[in-house]
Amino acid sequence: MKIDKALIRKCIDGDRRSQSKLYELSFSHMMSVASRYYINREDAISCVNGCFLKILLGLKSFDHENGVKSYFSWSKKIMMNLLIDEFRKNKIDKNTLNYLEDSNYLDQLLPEDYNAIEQMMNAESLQNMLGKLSEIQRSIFNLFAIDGYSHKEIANALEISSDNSKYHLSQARKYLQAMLKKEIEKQKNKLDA
Amino acid sequence: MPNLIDKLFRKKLQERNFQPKAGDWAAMNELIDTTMGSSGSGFSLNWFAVIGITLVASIGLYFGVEQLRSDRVISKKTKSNSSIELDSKKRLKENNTHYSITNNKDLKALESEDANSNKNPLKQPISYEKNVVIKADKQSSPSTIKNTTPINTSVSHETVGSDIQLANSTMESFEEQGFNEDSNPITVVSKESKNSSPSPLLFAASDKSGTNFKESSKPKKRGNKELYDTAISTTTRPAENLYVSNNLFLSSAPISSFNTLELQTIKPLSRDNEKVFKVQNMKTKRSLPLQLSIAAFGELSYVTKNIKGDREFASLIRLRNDQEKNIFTLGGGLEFQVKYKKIGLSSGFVSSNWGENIQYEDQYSSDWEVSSINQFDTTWTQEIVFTIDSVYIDSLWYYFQDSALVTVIDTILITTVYDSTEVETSLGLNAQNGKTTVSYWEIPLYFSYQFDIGDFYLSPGLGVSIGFLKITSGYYMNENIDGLIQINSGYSVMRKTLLSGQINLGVGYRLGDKFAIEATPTYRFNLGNAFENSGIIQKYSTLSFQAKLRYYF
Repeated sequence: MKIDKALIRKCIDGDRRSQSKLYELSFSHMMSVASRYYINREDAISCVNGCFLKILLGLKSFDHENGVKSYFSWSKKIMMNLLIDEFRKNKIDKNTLNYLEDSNYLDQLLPEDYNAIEQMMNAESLQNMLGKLSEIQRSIFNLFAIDGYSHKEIANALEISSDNSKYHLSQARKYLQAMLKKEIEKQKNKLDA
Repeated sequence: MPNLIDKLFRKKLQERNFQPKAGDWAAMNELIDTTMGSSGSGFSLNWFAVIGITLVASIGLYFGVEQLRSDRVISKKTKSNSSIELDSKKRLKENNTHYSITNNKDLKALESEDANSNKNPLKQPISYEKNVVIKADKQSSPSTIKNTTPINTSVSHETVGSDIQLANSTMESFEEQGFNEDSNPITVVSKESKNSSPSPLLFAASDKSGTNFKESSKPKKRGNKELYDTAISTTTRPAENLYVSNNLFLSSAPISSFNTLELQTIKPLSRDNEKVFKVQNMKTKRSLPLQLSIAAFGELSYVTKNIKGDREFASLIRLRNDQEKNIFTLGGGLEFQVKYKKIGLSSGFVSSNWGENIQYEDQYSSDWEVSSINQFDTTWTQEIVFTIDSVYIDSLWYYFQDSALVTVIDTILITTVYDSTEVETSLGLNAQNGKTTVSYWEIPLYFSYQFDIGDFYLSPGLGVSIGFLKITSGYYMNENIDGLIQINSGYSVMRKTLLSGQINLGVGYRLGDKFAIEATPTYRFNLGNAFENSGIIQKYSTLSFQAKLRYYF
């Protein structure tokens, strides 16, 4: 089964079975976003369910104004807005920091390392690394590196300065870089042994 | 090159595949319920239950209380008088209203009096029960009865409210006309039925002389109706008259609310000087003869289950049908019934237990699809059908489906060929074998019709039952057949509300006026899916034997 107009119409009519089907079909898409921002599965599920509720509430306007093909981009937009609202509510560290570019680590990840890492690392390991970042670092890294937000957009969304956003991004990259390096060395030691 | 890190994470994390667990939808479902309200069916079920219970309880309580109030008033009046009098010389008297009627205590006294009266021809046992009788006493009839002078009463049904009160008022009017307590020819006597259901009232009247009455009791033609000397006529005249023999004439006019009154002659009393008429459609304050009863019961149920579902769950469904066994369970409940004549409306609470005995094995057969043959209706538009091959057999084309292209299958009869293979696992699928329990509080609402056979009765019933999930415990095989899912209140896979149909047959035996015992085979069956997962349709049905003890108010 796929997401089509008939399914969406049934969801609007309150057919619980169709809503269940839409949930099932949307779940992976929503969860792949939520799981990057939340360490615990419970928190991620809570976010997914909150997002799906907003989707159900807004389906009527979506059905009339947009095409079926744009369902996923529409639902992602809802998810991102929900996440940003949560950041604002949770009052994450918004201290203004002056960003000074620290390029020491930038040349440490070479393309050949990248290929090795890409083969070596699976999504779960990378997810665990993200989990070790602070909440604001993780959020800004996700927003900038994966979800394509600019620093200006991040600054507006999180009500922080652009410099602050850049600083946290560089910190996030730095920690991730360190963790990846550590992982490479571990793998090398294994091979040597 | 910092964007290499970004690229790595983007590539690995952006398009991950997640599958919801069974509990995820349950949590979502709850969130939808609390935020948007229950789905149409659930909402209706809740309201249906509330309305059902309220309806039955309200009707029952209203009439039950009315009955109690009525009994209390009469009882109070009876108690306040030192003498309950059962013949013309003894009458109840209170507040200028005369009663000689009507609870069980009085009934016994009356029966005792009747028994004694066997020796006296004027006190023969009354040949019927549960009736109101206006009866003349031979010895106390005043001489004026012999006259043709009418004795007018000024009572109306509207004023006095009930038949008994009308009769009492008639008695009163005699007194007002000059009859004293001892010479009043009219007595009102009532006996209640052993069967406590209300019945039409009976009136009788006679003069002091049985012979005269007998002679004058030939019917007189009035229009199409035959009226007796002793009668309450149903004329359109403004006055409604009660005649007795010897031209004693009681007028109770005007009684406009007697328009629907009709008289039929019924069995006369054993004495010649009395004639009884049945009054139908007499309007009284309590117009509906409803009866309330309550029953407590226990039940032994044999629980069976049927699982169907989408083709993708074929292996799971087959496994579960094979390896989940039927069980016996115990339950019980309380039932309220409001009965109008022979028709009963029942509701109440039942604690019912469903479930199965899980006997999973560590190996199972997995079905997989070998091929599909689609048989098309020849009238179907074939241009949009994409097939990879076809043959012509007996005027029908058989197409081999190109599954990549054919997506519309609504009008196609599909014959699917499966093969199966045995799968050995080391997943510990049998680790939690045992009994699963799915308990619901059920609220039945059903109609029944009662056939009386002496003290026995048969009462077939038909209705519905709304279940509210109470407890779940145990394990089911998961959808991928690679593990177990727990069913409990925190990880619910069962529906919270469920509608079932119900058919039953009550076989009862009356133990006196107040109690009855019943054996009631009952068949209940889920009308909806008990399972949350809409791809698997799991329906229970139970055949129960209910043992009831019923109390009539």
